Amino acid sequence: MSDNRTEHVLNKKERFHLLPGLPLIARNEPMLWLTGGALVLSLALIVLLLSYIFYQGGTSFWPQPVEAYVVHDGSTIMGEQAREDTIEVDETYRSQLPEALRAGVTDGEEVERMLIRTANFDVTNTHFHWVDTTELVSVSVPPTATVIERLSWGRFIGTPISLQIQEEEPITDPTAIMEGVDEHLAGIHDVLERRIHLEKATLGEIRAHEESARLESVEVRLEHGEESQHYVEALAAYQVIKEHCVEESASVLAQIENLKKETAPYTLRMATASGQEADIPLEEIVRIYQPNALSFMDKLGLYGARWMEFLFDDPREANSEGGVWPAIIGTVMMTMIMTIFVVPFGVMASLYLSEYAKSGGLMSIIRIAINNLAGVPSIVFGVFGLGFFCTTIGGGLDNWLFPAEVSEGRPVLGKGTILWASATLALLTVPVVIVATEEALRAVPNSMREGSYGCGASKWQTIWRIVMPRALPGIMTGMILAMARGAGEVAPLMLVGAVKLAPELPIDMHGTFIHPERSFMHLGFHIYDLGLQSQNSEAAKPMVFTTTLLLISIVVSLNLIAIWMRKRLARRFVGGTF
Amino acid sequence: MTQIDRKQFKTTWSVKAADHVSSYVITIGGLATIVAVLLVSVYLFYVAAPLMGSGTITGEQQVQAQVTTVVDNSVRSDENSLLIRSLSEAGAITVQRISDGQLLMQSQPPMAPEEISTLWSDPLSEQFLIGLKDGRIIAGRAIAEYSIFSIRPHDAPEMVDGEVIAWHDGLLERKDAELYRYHRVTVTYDAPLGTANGNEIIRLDRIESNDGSVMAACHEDGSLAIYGTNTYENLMTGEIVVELESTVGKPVSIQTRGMPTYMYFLGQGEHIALIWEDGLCERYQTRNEIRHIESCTLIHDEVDQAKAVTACSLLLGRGSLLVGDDEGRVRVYFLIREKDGSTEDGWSFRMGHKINSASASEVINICSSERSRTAGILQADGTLRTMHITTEKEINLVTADVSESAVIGIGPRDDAILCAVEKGIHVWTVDPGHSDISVSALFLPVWYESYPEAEMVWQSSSASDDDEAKLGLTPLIVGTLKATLYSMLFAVPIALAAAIYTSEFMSPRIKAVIKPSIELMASLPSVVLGYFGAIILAPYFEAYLMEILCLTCAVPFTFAVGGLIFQSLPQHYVRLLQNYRLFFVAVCFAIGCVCAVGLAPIVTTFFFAGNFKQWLDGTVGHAFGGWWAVSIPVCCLTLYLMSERFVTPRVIAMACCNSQAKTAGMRFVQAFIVMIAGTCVAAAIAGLAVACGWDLRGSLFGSYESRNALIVGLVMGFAVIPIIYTIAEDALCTVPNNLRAASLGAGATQWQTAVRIVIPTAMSGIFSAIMVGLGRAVGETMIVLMAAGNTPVMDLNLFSGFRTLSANIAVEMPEAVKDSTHYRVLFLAAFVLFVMTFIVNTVAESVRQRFRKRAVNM
Repeated sequence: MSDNRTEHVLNKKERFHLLPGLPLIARNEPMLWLTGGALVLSLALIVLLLSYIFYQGGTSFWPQPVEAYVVHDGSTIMGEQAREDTIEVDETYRSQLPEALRAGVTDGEEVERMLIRTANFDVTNTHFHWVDTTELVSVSVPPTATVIERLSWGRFIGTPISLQIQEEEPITDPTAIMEGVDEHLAGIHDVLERRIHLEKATLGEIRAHEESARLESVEVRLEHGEESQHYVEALAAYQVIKEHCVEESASVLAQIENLKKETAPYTLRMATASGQEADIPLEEIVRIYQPNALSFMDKLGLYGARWMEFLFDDPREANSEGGVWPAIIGTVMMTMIMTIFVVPFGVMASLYLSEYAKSGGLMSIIRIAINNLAGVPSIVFGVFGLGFFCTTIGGGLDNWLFPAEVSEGRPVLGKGTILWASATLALLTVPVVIVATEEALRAVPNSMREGSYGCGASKWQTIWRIVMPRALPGIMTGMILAMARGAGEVAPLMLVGAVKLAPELPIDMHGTFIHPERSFMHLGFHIYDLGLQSQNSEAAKPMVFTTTLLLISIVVSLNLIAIWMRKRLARRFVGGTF
Repeated sequence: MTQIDRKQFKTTWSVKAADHVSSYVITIGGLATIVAVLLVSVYLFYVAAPLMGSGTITGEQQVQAQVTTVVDNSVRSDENSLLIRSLSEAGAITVQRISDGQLLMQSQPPMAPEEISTLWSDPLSEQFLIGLKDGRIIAGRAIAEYSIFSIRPHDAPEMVDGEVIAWHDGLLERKDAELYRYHRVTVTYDAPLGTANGNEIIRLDRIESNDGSVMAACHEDGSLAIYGTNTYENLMTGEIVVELESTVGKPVSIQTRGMPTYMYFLGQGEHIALIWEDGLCERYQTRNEIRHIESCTLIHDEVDQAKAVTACSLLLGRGSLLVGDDEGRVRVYFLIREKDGSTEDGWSFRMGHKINSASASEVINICSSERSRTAGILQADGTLRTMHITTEKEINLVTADVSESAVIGIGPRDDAILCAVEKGIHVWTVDPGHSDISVSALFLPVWYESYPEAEMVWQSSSASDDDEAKLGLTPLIVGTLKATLYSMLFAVPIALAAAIYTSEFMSPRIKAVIKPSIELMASLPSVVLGYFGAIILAPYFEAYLMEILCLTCAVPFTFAVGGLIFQSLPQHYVRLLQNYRLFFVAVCFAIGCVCAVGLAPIVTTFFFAGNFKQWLDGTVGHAFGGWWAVSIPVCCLTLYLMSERFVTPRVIAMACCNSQAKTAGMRFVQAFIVMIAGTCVAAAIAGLAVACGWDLRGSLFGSYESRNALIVGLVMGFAVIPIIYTIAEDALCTVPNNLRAASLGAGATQWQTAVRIVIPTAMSGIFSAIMVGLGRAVGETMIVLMAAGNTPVMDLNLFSGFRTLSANIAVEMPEAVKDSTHYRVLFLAAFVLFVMTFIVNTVAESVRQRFRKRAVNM
C-alpha cells in the first residue's frame, strides 16, 4: 500500500517534468508582464518629461532661422517659427478665409498651420501670427533678415535700411550697416553700463543715505515728541544731509545727462516685412544678428552668449527676456540661510533623540510626530510662516526696532522677507535632517561608544570625537536633501516673501551686505509666475523652459550628490564592527 | 607621588563643564526644535479658534430719555460709539452723548407735530421720511460724521490727548496735538414735496436707484403710488423746483382689507411687499406698472402657525425679509426666481431661515445691521438677541426692561446694541466676533440669500458690498478628495506593480540603476510638474482625449497579450529570453500606444456618436454608449478575476495531461472568451443602467474643461508614484530572503512566491506606502494650483476642474486682510489640511512601526 503511494507520487512528478503545462500557468507570464509594464510606463514617463524639458530648455536659445512667408493677399510675414499645429476645417474656419481660398478646403479636413514669432510688438501690437498652409504662397529665407534683441519692447525682426551716426551722412549699404553697428555697439554698451551704474548704484546710495537720515529724525520725533529740542536738532541735521544729497545727486544727474547725450545720436533705421519703418536707437540694442547668414560657430557663440545673459543678467520685459540672476541669487541665498537654521537645530534634535533622551512612550510619540511632520503639506508651513514669522514675530520686532518705518506704514520685518522664507523652509525641512541624522547616528556601532567610555571619555567627548565624525556623511546627506527640497519648494514661498520682481537683491555691496529684510525672487516661483501669470505665456515659454532646466539641474544634482553620499556611507560601515 | 597620580585620574573641570553645557544645550535645543515643529499645528488652531466664539459684551451705558417714544429703526449710534441719535414722533432728531446722556442737539422740524401722519426711518441708511396729513412728503437725513482740525479751535478749552468734550452741538475729541475731531450729527430736512394725491400718507418707503431716489407711498384712500423726484428750473423765475411725480404707471388701489402695517421695497426696487398684521403679504411688481403678483401668508409654515406679525425688517441689500410673530419666532423670506415658478413673473417668497426662541414671548422689534447680515431681535420678555441670519448663529444676548414701543438698533460697525424704551436708551458696546462663521456654516449646506436652496459654496470675494462672502469649506474638501482620488487611481496600481517587479523579478544590477532614477522623480519640483501639466499636457489632452483614454485600456491589454504570446513560445526560447523581458514589455508598450491611436476613432464613432466632447456636453449621442464603453474594461477585469478563481483550476487539472503549447493555447482561448463575455455583460449592464434612467454624464463624466481632474490625476500621479514605489519596494526588500528561498525550494514559481509569500508578508509596509502617497496627494499645492483650473465646484466629473484646500490657500492668502474672517478661515483651511494629512500619516507611521517590528522578528 505504502509502496503504491510512493509510486503514484513519483509518477506525478514525472508527469510534471514531461508536460510543462502546469508550470506555465504557475509562472503567470501575463501578470508578470503587467507588473513589468507598470515599471516601463513610469520609466517612460520620467524619460519623456526629462527629455522634453532638456530638449526645450536646451534648444530655446539656439538661434532660429528667420523665414519670410508670403501669403495669399500678398503680404509678407517674417519671423521665427515657434510651433506647428493642425486645425480642423469647419464653418467658422471657412468663413474667416478669403473668398478665393474657400473652395480649396473641405469640411473635416485637417489644415496645418504655423505659429510665427513676428516680434515687433511696438509696431504691430502682437508678438505672434498664425500662418495656415492654405493661404501660404511661398516661403523664403532672406539673408538680410535681422533680429534685434532690445532693452524694451522685446525683439525686432526686419531688414536694416540705414544707420545714422551723429551728424554724418546715413550709411545705407547693408553690409556696411552691420559692420557699423558692430563697431559702435561695444562702445555704446560701455557708456550704457556706466550710466546704469550711476543711476542704480551711485544715485541709489545717495538716496539710501538721505532716507536713513530722514528715518533717524522720524525716530527722534517718535521718541521725544514733536516739539522737543532733540527733534529740532535731528531735523536740522537731516536738513544738512538732505541738502548735501540733493547737491550730490544733481551732479550725478548731470553726468547721466552727458552720457545720454553721448549715446543718443546713434540710430538704426529698420523696415519690417510689411514695409513699416522704425528707428531704433543703438543704446536700446542688446544684440543684433542676421540668423540666416550665421555660420555654425557664430550660432554657437550666440547660444553661449545667451546662456551667459540668462545666468548673469537681470530680467527684462516682465521677466520674459533677459536673465534670471536675481532669482538664482534669491534661491541660493534662501537655501543657504535655511541651511544655517536647519542643520544645527536638526542635528541637536536628533542628538537629543538618539543620545540623550530615554526611550519610552513619549519618545515614540515624538518620533511619530516628527515622521508625521515630514508629510505635512508645505502650504501649511507657508500659512504658519505668514502668521507666525511675518506677522507675529516680524511685526513685534518691527515695533521694537523700526518704529519710524512702521509709523509710515512700511514694515521692515513684518512682511514677507527672505529671512522668514528661510525660517519657514527650515521648519519644513527639519524632519528631513532629523531622520537622516538619526539614521547616521544609529549606524555608528555601539561598540565604538562603549570603547570610548571605556577609555574614560565623557559623554560629550564621545559624541564630539567618536560619534559625530562617523555620522558626518549622514548629516551631510540630510543637509543636501533638505537643500534640494528647499530649493524646489514653491508653495510656502508664495506666502512668505517670494515676489515676481525684486528691485534689490538680498545681497549687495551696501550697508550690511546681506539684507534679510528684503523680498526675493526664486526660480520655482519664477516658473509659476512666468508660466501661468504672465500676459504673454507663449512668448515666455523659452524662458520658462530654460528656468525649469536650471532648477531641475540644481535639484537633481543635489539629490545625486545625496544618493552618492548615502551609498558611500553604507559602504563605509559594512563590516565596520570591531 | 600619590598626589600627582590622583591629579592624572581626576577629570579636568573643562571636560566636566563641556559635558554639562553640551548636555543642557542639546537637550534644550533638541526639545525646542521638536516643540517648534509641534507649534505649527497649535498656532494654526490658535489663529482659527476665534472663528468659533460668539460675540462678547464689553460695556453697558444708560442714556437718559429726552423723548418718550421713538420711531422704528431710527435709533442709531455713530461709528466711534460717541453719539446716539433718534427720531421722535414729532419728527425731531435728538442727539445725545452716549457716555453721560447729555443732550447735544435737538433739531427743529419744519412742520407742526399735528401735521404729521406717518414717520419712516430707513433700516439700512441714515435717511428718514415724514408723511404729512395733506399728502406731502418731507425727506430728511441725519448723518453722523466728523470733521478734522489740525489745531485746537479757538473757542475750545485746553484738552489732553484722548479727551472728549461737548462742543457746539457735537463732541470735540483730541487725538493728539495735531488732530482734533469734531463729531456731530448733521440733520437736514428737504422742503416738503407735494404729491398728486392729496390724501393723508399712511405708509412710506424709499430706495436709492440709479435715477435718484424713489419713494413708495400708501395714501389713506387706499392707493399705492411710486414717486420719483423731478428737478427742473422754473423758466420764469429761474428758481429750482423739485417735485414728486408718479414714475411707475398709475397708482393702484390696495383697499381690500385696510391699511398694511409694513411696506418695503425689495431687491433693487423692482418689488414692493405690503404686509398686514395677520401675516398676509401682497407683492407688487414695479417694473413698468404697479401690478399685484402674489399674495401669501408669512407666519404659517408646516410646523408652526402664529397669529400676528408683530415686527418686520429687511436685511442689508433688501434681499431678505424678516418677519417676527407673536410667538417669538422670526422667519426669513428670500425672494427667489425659479424657472417654473408658480407666479406670473417667476419670483416667489421662500422661507430660508426660521429663528426660534427659547421663550414664546412676542417679538417686539427687529433691526438690521448696515454692514452684515446681522439682525437684532427684541422679545417682550426683554431678551434682545443679535443673530447672524445666514448662519443662524446667536452673536450676543442681553436683557432689558422693555415695553411694547421699544425700538432697537445696531451700531454701524456691529459694535453696539441699542434699545430705546420710555425711560431712555440702553447701549451695550459689543465685540461681534466672527459672526458669519459657525461650524455648520463651514461644513454643511447653508441657505444663502437669493439661492433656491441650501448649498455648500465657497465664494470668498463678492462683486458688491451687499453680497455676503460664502465660506463653505466643503467644496474645497471635496476638491481635495477628488484630486486625491484620481491621482491615487492612477498612481497606486502602477507604483505597486513596478515595486513588485523591481524587488522580485529584476536582477540587482539593473535594479541599482532603475531604483535611484525613479527616486529622482520624487525630487522633481512640483512647480515643474504643474507647469508641464497645465501648459504642455493640457493642449495635447484636449486634442487627443480619446487616444489617451484608449491608452489606459489598450496598453495593459497589449501587455497581457504579450505575456500570453511569450509563454506560448517553446520553453527553450522562454528561458533564453526571459532576462530581456523588460525590453519586450517596452516593445509591447509602443504597440499598445499605436493600437490606442488606431482604436480611438473607432471607439468615438461606435460609442460616442462620432464626437466625444459633444457627447460629454450631452448634445449628441446616448447614455448607453458611455455606460458600455466604461463597463467593458471593468467587466473584463472582473470576469478575468472570476475566471482565475473558477475556471483556471479546471485548466490546471487539464494542464497536468497537456503539453505546454496546448496549455498556452487554452489560456489564450480562456482570455478570449473572457473578453467576449465581458463585452456582452458590459452591454447588459449598460442597458440596465439606461433603463434605470442613469447617465454617466453629470456624475463621473461631464463637460470637458481644459484644466481638469484627468490631467491633475496624471501629473499628481507622477509626483506620488516615486513615493509609493520607494516605500513599497523597501518593504518588499525587507522580507527576509529565507522565506523566498523556502518557497522557491518547495517548488513555487517566482510569481507564486511573490504573490503568496512576499506580498502578504510586506502587506503592512505596502499599506503604509499607499498612505504616505495619499498624504502627499492631499497636500500637494503647485500641481493643482496650476493644472486644476481652481473653480470651487463640487462634482466628481473627471473632465472638469476643481479647487483644493491647498490651492485655495495659495490663491487667496496673499490677499486676505490680517485677522479678518477670511484670513482666519484660511488658517482653518490649513488646519483642516493639517488634520487630514496628520491622520493619514499617523496611520501610515503606526502601521509601518508594527511592520518593522514584525520584520525584525522574522
